Amino acid sequence: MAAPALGRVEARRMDLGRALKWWPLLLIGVWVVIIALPGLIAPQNPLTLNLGNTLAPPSGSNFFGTDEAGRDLWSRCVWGVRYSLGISIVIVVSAAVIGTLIGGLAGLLRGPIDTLLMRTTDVFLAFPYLILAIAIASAVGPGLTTVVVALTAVWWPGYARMVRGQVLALKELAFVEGARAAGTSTPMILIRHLLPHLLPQLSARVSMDVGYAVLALTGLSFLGLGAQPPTPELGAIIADARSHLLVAWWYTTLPGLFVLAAVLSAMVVNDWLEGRNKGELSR
Amino acid sequence: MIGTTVCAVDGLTVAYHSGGEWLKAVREVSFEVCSGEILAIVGETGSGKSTTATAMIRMLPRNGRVVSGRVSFDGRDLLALSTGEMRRLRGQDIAYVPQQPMSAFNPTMTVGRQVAEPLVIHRGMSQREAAPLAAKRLREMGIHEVERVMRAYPHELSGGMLQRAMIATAMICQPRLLILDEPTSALDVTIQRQILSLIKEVQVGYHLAVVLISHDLTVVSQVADRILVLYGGRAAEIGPTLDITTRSRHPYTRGLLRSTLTGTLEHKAKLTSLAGYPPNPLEVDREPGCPFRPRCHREIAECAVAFPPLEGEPGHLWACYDPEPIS
Amino acid sequence: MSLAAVDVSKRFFLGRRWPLQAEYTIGVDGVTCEVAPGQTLGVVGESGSGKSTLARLMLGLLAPSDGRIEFEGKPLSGFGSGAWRSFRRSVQPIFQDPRSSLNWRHSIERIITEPLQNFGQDRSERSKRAVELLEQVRLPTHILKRQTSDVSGGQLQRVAIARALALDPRYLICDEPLSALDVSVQAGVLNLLLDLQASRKLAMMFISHDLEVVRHVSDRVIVMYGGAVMEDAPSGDFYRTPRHPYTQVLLGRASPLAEDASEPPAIAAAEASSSRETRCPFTDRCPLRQERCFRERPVLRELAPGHRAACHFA
Repeated sequence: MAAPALGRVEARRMDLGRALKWWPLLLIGVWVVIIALPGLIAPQNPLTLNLGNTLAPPSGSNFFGTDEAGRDLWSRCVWGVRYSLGISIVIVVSAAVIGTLIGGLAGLLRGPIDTLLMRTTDVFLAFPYLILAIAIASAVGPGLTTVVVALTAVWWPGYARMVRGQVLALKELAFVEGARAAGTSTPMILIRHLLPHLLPQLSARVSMDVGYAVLALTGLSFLGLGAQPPTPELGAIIADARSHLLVAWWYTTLPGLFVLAAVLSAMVVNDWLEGRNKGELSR
Repeated sequence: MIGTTVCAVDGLTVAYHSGGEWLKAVREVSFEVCSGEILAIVGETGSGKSTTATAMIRMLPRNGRVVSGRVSFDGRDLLALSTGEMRRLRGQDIAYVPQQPMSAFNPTMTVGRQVAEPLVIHRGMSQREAAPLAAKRLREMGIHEVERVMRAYPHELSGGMLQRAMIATAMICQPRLLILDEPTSALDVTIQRQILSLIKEVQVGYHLAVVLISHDLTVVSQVADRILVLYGGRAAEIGPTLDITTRSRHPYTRGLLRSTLTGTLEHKAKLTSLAGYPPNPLEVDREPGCPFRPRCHREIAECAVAFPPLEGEPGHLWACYDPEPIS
Repeated sequence: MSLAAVDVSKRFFLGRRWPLQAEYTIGVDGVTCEVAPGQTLGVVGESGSGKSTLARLMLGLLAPSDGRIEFEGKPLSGFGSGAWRSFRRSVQPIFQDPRSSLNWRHSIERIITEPLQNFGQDRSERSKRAVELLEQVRLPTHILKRQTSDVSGGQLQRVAIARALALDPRYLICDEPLSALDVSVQAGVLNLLLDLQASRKLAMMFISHDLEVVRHVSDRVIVMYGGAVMEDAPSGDFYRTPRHPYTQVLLGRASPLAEDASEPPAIAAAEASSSRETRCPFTDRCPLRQERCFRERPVLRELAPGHRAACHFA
């Protein structure tokens, strides 16, 4: 019950606390730099062979040492994470866009279209991505395109379901009626009115799925279905590193750490976004 | 028959923590309620009326604090009691009926159980012992199909029924002070009248002190004995209902009364209206002087300097440097 | 040339009790009313009376189960896209709570100009028009770029009015436009509506539970209960000589409701739908009810010139 007067020091600490809440953006910034300008932190060429210096441990000239073909591991990892993380983001965002359109239209239009779209969604949802990847690989051969197609195909239904559910609730909101009375068409209602309300949950889910996508992508590449040599994708690198595990510990460990860093960052961003979304729950 | 003072609020100031600062929502509000009378606290958005009520019974949200003031009940300062002591009073000696009867009940419990709950908590009765008392109370509140209502879940009953059940719950331990927050706002016009007369009956029957909070002056003037008008967190005017409705002195009260339709206006003629809008509850704290200034047509130099003191005649006070003359 | 409901009913499908008995809630039941150009039709009723459903039917947001809504003599059900566009330009709503009926993620300017966007105006024209519209509803132009949370309830309702005026409609359907506002602000918004009606020769449908306000602004008033029209009269007659017992209760003229009906218990929808067709909806609470009222549904009869009521005993 004391009078709630805040001292200047306390006030400044509260301001700092509020500013620090935005640090995940910094994290995103770091990854953006890594993906966009890999040359900046990894000046060496990831593809250059140097058979005189194979499986060298970490040193001044090679931060992560070299692989069995003498290529600088640090550069390979930096460029590798570019593939792993960058492509994962592409997969998840594409899945989100497709899912939103399908789920959104299903929720808004209802009736036979809803049924058709949702049953299609169910079919795709039932597919395990590993089997699908193997199937596509056996048809057109392995490669990054193969896994991208496989992963996107099984990822969008989750979004379709989520968005449809939200749209069903959102379209009962009063302002949707107002939009109709003003002459707004159904697709425009989805894009102009509902999307801003969908974005918080969508972006939170996208960030989390990026983490899972990195694991899925690197996993598929590890199994040989994804990136093919000499593409320096992290999963592929770790697969190659397996046979040299006993003589070159850095070869498996360090790319693994990169994977860990990428996934953790995705989870941190997800946590941050969900925290921000909670504050909006009053609406 | 007005009896002794049951509750006296003195200089209550309440602040909320919002966006990094403490902003006062209620400032230096004082009033008394005696047994056998209904005091209505009337105000619009930003007036602080709900905050006053929740502060009195110490149910402010986590970011609210009572900055200063005293709330005496039975000679004790409620603000100085321990949480345990306060909890013993709530539901037993002081009853609070929140807004929106629909949301105030737990949707997963039958109404009968909830009406009996205060007895279980405060008097140590079992559900079985308390049930007949709950039924009796419900019948008193004008509910006829008592058995059905006892077994029903809140969503199965209409707004008016729920409000009656809510009042029954509040009255079941026979409190001495009853606080009702917007008891009729969520209800239809015809039901509103019924609930208001119910409140009056209960008040007379139990010789209760009642605090009735509302945004609608005309509605409460039907049952209230005295009215306290709040604006921008401060007391603007307080007095007997008749004085407030026919001889009000504060420009805000006058403006409110004048801008309601009374049936004497020519068809489709424009109403007298107060210019501007009620103050934003979180911004009203920022400037000195009377919060009603932006909308007042009687503003004089003193109004910008400091909030006017409450003065007037015995029993009827107003806070205005240049009050309206008696018409 | 008006906007009218002709014997309109709306039922909401609840479910099917196997094998055949379908259950419905009645929203609106056999309502005929007309909003004449330049005039105000007042609609009075409590919650559940069907007044909001009627508003949505008149706005073309719901399709009637029976009967038809006619705009300038033609039924809405026959409208092609061109006719709908013209309808939307002419008939605009003002809803009860601007905080939920306006998209709170849009700026004020975007809210006001959305109708114009739908009809193809480009950005610069829209901005200009937004400023004009704000002036017409007496709001300062600096709020254009703000969010709805920065603006008070009374101001936000004026924003809703500005949006409704954007396409220069001839009919305004107002569903409880004052109920969510502070008392000290209601008069101002009401005056604005009266001014706009006078200057633009607007026709209005004014729905409210507040009898005094409805009577004051309307030329003609209908009273709804249980989805049906109980009384239909010019507003002066309506107030001086109310004929239907429900109207009398609303006006506080009659003794409170029958002794053993402290309040109608929430009637299960199935009961409501089947029995209402054969009895007067007001039997739950009518002080005058008799056996005939349960058997025979009263029709709207003309009791005085232009003054109709649906009661056997009016």
